Amino acid sequence: MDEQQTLDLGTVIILGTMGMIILAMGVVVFFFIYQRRMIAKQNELTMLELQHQKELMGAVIQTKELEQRRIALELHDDVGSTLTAIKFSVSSFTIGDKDKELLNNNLADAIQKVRRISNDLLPSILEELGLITAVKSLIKTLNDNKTVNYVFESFGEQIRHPKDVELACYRVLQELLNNILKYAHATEVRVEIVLSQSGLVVIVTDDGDGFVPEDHTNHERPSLGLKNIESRIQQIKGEITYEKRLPKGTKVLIDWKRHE
Amino acid sequence: MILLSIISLFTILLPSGMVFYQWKSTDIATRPIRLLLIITLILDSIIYYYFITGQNKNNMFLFHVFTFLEMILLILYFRSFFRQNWIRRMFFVLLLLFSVMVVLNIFYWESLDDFPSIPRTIECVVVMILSILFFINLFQQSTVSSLMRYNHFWLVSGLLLFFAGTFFMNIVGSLVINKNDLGFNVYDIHSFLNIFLNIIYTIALWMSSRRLISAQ
Ligand SMILES: Nc1ncnc2c1ncn2[C@@H]1O[C@H](COP(=O)(O)OP(=O)(O)OP(=O)(O)O)[C@@H](O)[C@H]1O
Ligand SMILES: [Mg+2]
Repeated sequence: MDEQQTLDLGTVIILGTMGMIILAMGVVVFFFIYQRRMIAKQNELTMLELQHQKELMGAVIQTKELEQRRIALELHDDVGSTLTAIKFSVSSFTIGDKDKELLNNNLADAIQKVRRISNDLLPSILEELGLITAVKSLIKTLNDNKTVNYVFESFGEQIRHPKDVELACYRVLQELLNNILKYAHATEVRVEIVLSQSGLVVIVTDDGDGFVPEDHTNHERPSLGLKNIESRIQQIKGEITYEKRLPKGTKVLIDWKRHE
Repeated sequence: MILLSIISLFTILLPSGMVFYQWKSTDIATRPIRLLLIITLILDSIIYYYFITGQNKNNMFLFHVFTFLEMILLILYFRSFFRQNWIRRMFFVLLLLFSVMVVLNIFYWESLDDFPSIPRTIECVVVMILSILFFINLFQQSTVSSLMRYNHFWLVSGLLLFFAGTFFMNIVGSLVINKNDLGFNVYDIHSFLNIFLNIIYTIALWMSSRRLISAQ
């Protein structure tokens, strides 16, 4: 009788122990799976957020482009034509020749400025004559600034790519050159464009301080330029790479391919 | 199966060897565990010495000491994962309560010559609860992205399994230790669990030395 009881106790203990071990394993496995799911969900959420941010950025750029277009047209058609009208009516004024000439010069200057601004906002030359010509003209105006020497070269075929691609490249180039002027302390900047049926490549090299976006992580002041560049390149499904050059300077390469 | 017990005793050499190998480790989180392993090594050596020299001395007082030290170090280990002040204070209270309980137990219930069934059972329950709290805490922080590469996940899982497995044995203490019922000895299970825990200790320490973890 006594023998029987201890035997039973032993069995209970062994079974109980097994039960506990299985339970503990269950707990570990449960937490493991649960945690995995949670991480996956979290990743998905951040991905969605990122995607959303990108879309927002794209929308902002689009709106900005539309707004610029509106202002440019307004400037050109409204202010510009008003100024031109005034210029023509000056000849009928009864004032001295000298005053007339001064007025004429000032007016011509104003018209010129309005044209330049509206062209900056909406590079009509880009739409009409294409990327190469537009960049050539951009470089020419930039070369009026004597501290930096800009060189432009184009290679490949004389073809046109979709409007949005050309515009994106042009805007990115504007921002890149702007940044170089502002921060790089460069003396010579080269812009090269290679056009082909399969796509286009834009290369900007300078001999300045050298810069890659990863360097710029302290955002003590708002800066949109680099983000805009990334967003625009993403929208046309292109690629942009920054690279420090030896001994000094930066090389930026924009690569876009047709039918990706 | 005496042989299995001896093998089980010897497996402490693995994790404690790891402790000596990375003696200069500055990993604070595993410090209580490393200390525990050295203590275990010393006590296991004494037990082995008694066994070898055939001294049939009662060595139960070693279990009392070991249980006390083990519980204290494990509480300290788990405590390091919690940041909230009140929880940290609770750990301290727990530590005090356990110490008082161990002393009272020796005087009133289980003397130094008896198996310390009460402290060991309480220790099992405490470790199981703390393990689950550790897991819950891990979720709330969700700073660890890969559990497989997180050494403390291994450690706590191992501890949970070991203490859940030895729970029933500790309740009855040495009563049935040598009864052969389902074809194997209850103590064999203990030996297996002990070997398992020592392997987990080794893996976890090895991982922390490899810096595979993203420390909290
Ligand atoms: N070519 C460069 N050489 C050195 N530093 C640069 C260069 N381009 C950008 N940077 C650094 O990166 C930062 C971010 O540039 P970003 O174009 O985003 O902002 P920004 O030009 O200051 O402002 P925004 O373009 O919005 O008017 C700049 O403040 C500058 O410190
Ligand atoms: Mg900028």
